Amino acid sequence: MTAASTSPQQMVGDIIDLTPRERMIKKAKSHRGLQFGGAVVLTMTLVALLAPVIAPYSPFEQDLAKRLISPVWAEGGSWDHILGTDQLGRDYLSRLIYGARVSMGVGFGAALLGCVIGVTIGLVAGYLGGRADRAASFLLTCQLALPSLLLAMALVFFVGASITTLIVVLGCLHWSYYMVVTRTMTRQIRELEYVSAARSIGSTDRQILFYEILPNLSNQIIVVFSLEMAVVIIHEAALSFLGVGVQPPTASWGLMIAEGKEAMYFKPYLVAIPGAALFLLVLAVNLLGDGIRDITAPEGRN
Amino acid sequence: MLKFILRKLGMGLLVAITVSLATFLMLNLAADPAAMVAGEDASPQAIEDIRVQYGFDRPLAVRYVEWIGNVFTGNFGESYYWKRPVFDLFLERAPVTLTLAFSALTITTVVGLLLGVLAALNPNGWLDRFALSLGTAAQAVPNFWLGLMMIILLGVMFPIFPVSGDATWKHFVLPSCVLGMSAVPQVLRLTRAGMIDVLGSDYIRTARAKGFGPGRILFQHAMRNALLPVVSVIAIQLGYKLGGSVVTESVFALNGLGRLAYESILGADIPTVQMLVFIFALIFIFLTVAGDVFNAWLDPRLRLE
Repeated sequence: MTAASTSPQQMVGDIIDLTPRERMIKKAKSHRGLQFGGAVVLTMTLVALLAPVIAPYSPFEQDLAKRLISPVWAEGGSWDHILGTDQLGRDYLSRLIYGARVSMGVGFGAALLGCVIGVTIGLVAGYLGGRADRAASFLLTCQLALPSLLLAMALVFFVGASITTLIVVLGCLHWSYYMVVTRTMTRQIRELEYVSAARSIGSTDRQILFYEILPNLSNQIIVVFSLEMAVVIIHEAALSFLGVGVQPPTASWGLMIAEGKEAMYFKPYLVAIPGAALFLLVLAVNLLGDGIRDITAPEGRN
Repeated sequence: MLKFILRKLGMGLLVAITVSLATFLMLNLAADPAAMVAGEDASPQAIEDIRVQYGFDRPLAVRYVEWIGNVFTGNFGESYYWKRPVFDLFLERAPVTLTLAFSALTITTVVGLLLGVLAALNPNGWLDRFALSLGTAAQAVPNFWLGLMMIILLGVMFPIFPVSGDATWKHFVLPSCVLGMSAVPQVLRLTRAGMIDVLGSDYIRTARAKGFGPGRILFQHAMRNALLPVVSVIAIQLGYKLGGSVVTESVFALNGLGRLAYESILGADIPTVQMLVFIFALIFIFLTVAGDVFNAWLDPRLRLE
């Protein structure tokens, strides 16, 4: 063998030399979906957090003399109101910026609540197995059978629509995906040697679950989190659109679409703009989730 | 096999009863039903009268047992809002939603299968990339917004189809497209993955070696195996379509079950909401059981659990 040729061992060596973190960064650098999704989600998060600072006007301030001004690119638009105004003369850009708070807040909150419920059930079911596992999988079948959007509508309306109600109801109806992933992974991990090792040195079940098993699930849970967050954001918008979610005068993208619907034939931007923002956010969250799954997957699996 | 079917059906029944109990408790505990029926400006005395009149003063357990007992005889109770048996309302509105759900499902199946198979023929080709991008976009687009944009574009700028109501088949074209689009990504991805898997397998190589044409290999050999998992997903999607009709029917002013659900929620009509959630869950459970049985019939290994 000559020195110039690269032996298979060396090639394998190049890959093994990278730490998992380095490998992840390397993959992330060439993953366009991840970069786009991450950039948009980051921007939207900043917009939501800094809404009072960056919004040019108050989202509630009405000026009936300035009703239905078109956006700057359309006829009659001006730079004073870049995205125009709505039927009550409120600045559309400012409402859009404040609307990001509702979408991100409800999406994040409900996905987090669902995460806590689903991961807890999944951990217990996967770790204990037997009767606990059968009970959990029965619960899962029941959850999947429920028409979640319809039930969410009824519950939110009956309890009284508010941001908190939306988060609680949507969170409690969206835990199944977390549970399935956590249970499957826990069942595999509990058989591994390092778990037996932890048990043999006297770790309690609680220590094994939280310090040995849970950290190994974090990548998968983050992926499910982003995909569920996308679903919840759409559900919040749909509920607000139907009038049983966020209540006026709060700015929510779903509610803005509902209000804009009245004038959509001659002012289509009223519907197009908040919907496009919603589409962009959900798309970005999905791409981010898919991207994280791709870069954290073990070598050679997709 | 019979034992398998009976076990699945028994399990389904247990799930249905649990779901109905959970729904009953959630709906009745979410708010005071007497206050909701009485309306916002009712006096405390009026609320108490309604509580006794409708039987809300009895324990929840008693009321649930009465409800589920009646359901077994086909009686879903009387609507507070319309003052009629709620099952009559269901029968009146069901045809519109069933038409919508089945035509949406047809669109999902045709578009999803076609794009999935075409994408799998040449993975990473331009068609594959197009199909996957379309899938990603369709997954992210909110249903109701897509509906409104279609109304603005197709209904008003190029008025080909009516955008409101359910009088003729033409009224169903746009809503079916919107509802159908939402499930295209799942069917497309599953078909594509299944086809790529099967097309790389040994028996397809053998069929090629024997000199069969590409059409025969695709339709007679590959598709049959690749599409098995797709069948059960499509069955489940039909269940979701019924629930998803709430939004679509509201956008296009169709007078079906989704509209009924919307009206009964705003009217605080618990019996109607309870019935709709229960029937949608029942349909979903039935479709899942049917899918399991169908798969077990194809693959005997699944009969042992």
